[in-house]
Amino acid sequence: MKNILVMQLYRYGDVLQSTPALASLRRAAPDARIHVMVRKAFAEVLRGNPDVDEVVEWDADVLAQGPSDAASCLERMAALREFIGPLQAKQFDAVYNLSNDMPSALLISLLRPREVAGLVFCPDRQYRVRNDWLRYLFIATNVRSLNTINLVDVFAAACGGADRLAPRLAVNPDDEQSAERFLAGLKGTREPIGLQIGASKPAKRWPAARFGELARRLAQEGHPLLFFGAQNERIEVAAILRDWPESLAAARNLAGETSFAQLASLVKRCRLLISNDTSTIHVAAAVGTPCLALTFGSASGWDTGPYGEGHFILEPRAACFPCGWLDRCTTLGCRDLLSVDAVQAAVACARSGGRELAPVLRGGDVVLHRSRWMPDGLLGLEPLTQPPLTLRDLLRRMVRSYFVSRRLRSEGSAPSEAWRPWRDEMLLAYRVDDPKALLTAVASAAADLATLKRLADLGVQAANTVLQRSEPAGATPESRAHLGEAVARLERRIFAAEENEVLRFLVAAFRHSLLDMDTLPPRQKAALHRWNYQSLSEGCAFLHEALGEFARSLSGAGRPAAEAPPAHDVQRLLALAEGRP
Amino acid sequence: MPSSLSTVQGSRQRAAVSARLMEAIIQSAGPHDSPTEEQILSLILDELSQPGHSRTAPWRKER
Repeated sequence: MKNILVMQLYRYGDVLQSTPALASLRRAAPDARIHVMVRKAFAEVLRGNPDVDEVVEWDADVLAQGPSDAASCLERMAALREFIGPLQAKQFDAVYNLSNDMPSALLISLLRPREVAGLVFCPDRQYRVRNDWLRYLFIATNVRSLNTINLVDVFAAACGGADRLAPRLAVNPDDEQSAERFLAGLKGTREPIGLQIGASKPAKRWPAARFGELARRLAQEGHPLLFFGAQNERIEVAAILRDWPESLAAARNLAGETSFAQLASLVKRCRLLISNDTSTIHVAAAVGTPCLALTFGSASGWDTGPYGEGHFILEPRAACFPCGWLDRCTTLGCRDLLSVDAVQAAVACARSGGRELAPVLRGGDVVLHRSRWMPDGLLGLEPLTQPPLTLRDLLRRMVRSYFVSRRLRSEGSAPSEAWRPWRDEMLLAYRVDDPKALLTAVASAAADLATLKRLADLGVQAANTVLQRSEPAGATPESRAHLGEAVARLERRIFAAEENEVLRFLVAAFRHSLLDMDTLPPRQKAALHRWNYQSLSEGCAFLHEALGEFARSLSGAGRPAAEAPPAHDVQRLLALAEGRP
Repeated sequence: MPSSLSTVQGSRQRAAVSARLMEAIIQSAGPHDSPTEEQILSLILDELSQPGHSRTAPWRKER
């Protein structure tokens, strides 16, 4: 019997998003004993989950707290040893680390499993990521503006599944019954709508005053309203209800009142859930309630949106959206683009199943998406409002098409074949207001890719030089040093290209692969370097060809716009790569 | 996640103590040896004592 441990040390939403991965593991190994390590506060998410044999509760807060004297540190170490001992005794065959924090990676190194997927702390004291899908996640996290793969799909694929399974949450009849009392006497002519005004970070919260105005309008339309949330959101909800004592007299403030299971039961009864980026959107996805997620700042519906078809995501149309993890935006200008009118129109659209599209949704400030399965079988978002097509929209799909077909699934299809279904869908879902401007941007991007490809090909040649020597150590110290310097210079130029959005994803993947090579012997290292440079070169070629294909279909002239890049673009990229202004 | 200044300062103090402890433990092994179990346990406690430990990831520190 296989002994498996899955580690998910984040919050409610992350645990829920990991449940399809657990189901995938269970399908693949019905007899395996599946343990799941989660933070103690979020263990209830897995209650009654048939894919889990044992929940291991990780109480990080207790280990992190306490007096600062050395004796207390030793006590905490003893407590940690007591926690880890029984887990070591289980001798896990495989550990899947779905967290990306260092404590989880360190814990794994103590468990010494036969196989690891995800972040792990290695004997040479380096952190590395095992498993292509979870490595993709690390790359994507650094280049969020171009990632379009939902976290649930990444987790499930990392655990061997790609079955479009919904997040799983057990709601039993007792939960249903105990939730009933929250609905007693609820007035309204329609099914309730759920709202959650809070979020884990202030930058993810749509302003409470706007939620209040939206709630007032929905109540006027006859919708009973249920406000969900954590205990610390209760005061803010109460303030909204106080601001509109008559309009919202029948609304319920359930923030901090329900257990997780009761919350699930109540969300299940809602016609729609309107929420910031919270765990409740994943609850909605688990119980089959359509969701309207308001995303801005660092919250992107592409990677952490509700999983499954038929959910709606309203996002701002802003060049800087979504924020990177390291960005510290203080203006939140993109949040302001989500007006009450736009959200109300998005609610009407969601309630009509995507048919009603008010003019405010076509104004250019926002984009309303609906989730659905994409040509690669994974979840994606399609814009309902036919926004103007940008280079970034193209790149997002091209990067996904490349990584899924080549790096993650190793499909043998030609770039044009892999890309064509996406191209056709994009031409329908977006409008092209200014084909000339778009083609110019495409040509410039193609030129950047061509330049990066040349650099990558130089790297392949350098690696070949090393590999073709019968005895690397036989080369003179001077020639070795010369080659080493040349490769270091080349790498610096490639890394500098990460500043360019067109190239960022490919370069991030290249940089990430280098982390795995630190301790290898020279020949093996050279072979891996060659593979890495080749992958970069192929990635450039793929995107270049896809851009050309798109340009041909847009211009209808049969001439790839990408083949004759303007000279100034090449110069610009070279200047950037060499660090010149 | 600790939010008040006092908690953050407390965490830093703990981290400092933990770092000294870690240093003492490392004395027992050469710099190129694989880390011992004790060292790893100490590293975990060190990580946990950092403010916002639950979201710490190596790629953030890289940049």
